[in-house]
Amino acid sequence: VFNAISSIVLAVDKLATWIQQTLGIIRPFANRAIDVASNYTIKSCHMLSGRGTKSKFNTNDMNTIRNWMITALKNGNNFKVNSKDSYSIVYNMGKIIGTEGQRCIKIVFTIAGKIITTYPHK
Amino acid sequence: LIFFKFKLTDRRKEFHNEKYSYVYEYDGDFSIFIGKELFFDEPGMPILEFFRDVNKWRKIWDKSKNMFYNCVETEDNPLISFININNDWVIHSPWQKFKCNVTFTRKEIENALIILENNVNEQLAKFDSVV
Repeated sequence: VFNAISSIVLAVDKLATWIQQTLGIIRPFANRAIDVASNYTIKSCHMLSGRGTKSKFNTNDMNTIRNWMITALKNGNNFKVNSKDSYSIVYNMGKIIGTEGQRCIKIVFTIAGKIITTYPHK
Repeated sequence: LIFFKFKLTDRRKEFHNEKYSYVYEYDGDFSIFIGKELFFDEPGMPILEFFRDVNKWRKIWDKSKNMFYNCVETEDNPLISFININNDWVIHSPWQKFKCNVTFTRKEIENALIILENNVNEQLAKFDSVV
């Protein structure tokens, strides 16, 4: 029963994402996030010199990462529902941007365009 | 035997009073000790996000259900799990420092979480008063 419920929840999530993508509902929220990205402070734990186990960008230059974020938010369209008021996008930058060879960037942002986090994604 | 520790380091005011994303307002260093051994240690953890998942687990009517904490900062989810094995509970994380063979009662984990919650609330109150 638990597996069946999990499958239904997953299907509903996928359907919700597909409907919102198809209707273009998410794009305006992403555009708001683009405006915020140029001043966003990337969390130190995702920077090259950061502590901890979280995935890290291969640079400490915040402007470089901000430019990657803007590129991803402008050109990406594979948005997913992250929570009731937030979305995420994973975008392949076409080059290595992470310390473990990651080529993709993940950005999570709210419907108000506030950026929750960004980090290199496998 | 199990002990959670949190040290507040950052506040992100833009998430203050947000309906859902308020859980990203406070970040800090989060550690879990099993006895005296460091089991989990990570900076930049959104502690209210952890409490969101933990409190769902604490309030659920079926007390045999596992707890899965999914963190927005990583793909390695669930990041922290409390797993029920015949009413003994084990803790697991993909980032754990060692494989923990110690089992706990649900009460032990809940008590440790209450201590953490009280400590976090004290830190937030102090932080709010100076920032």
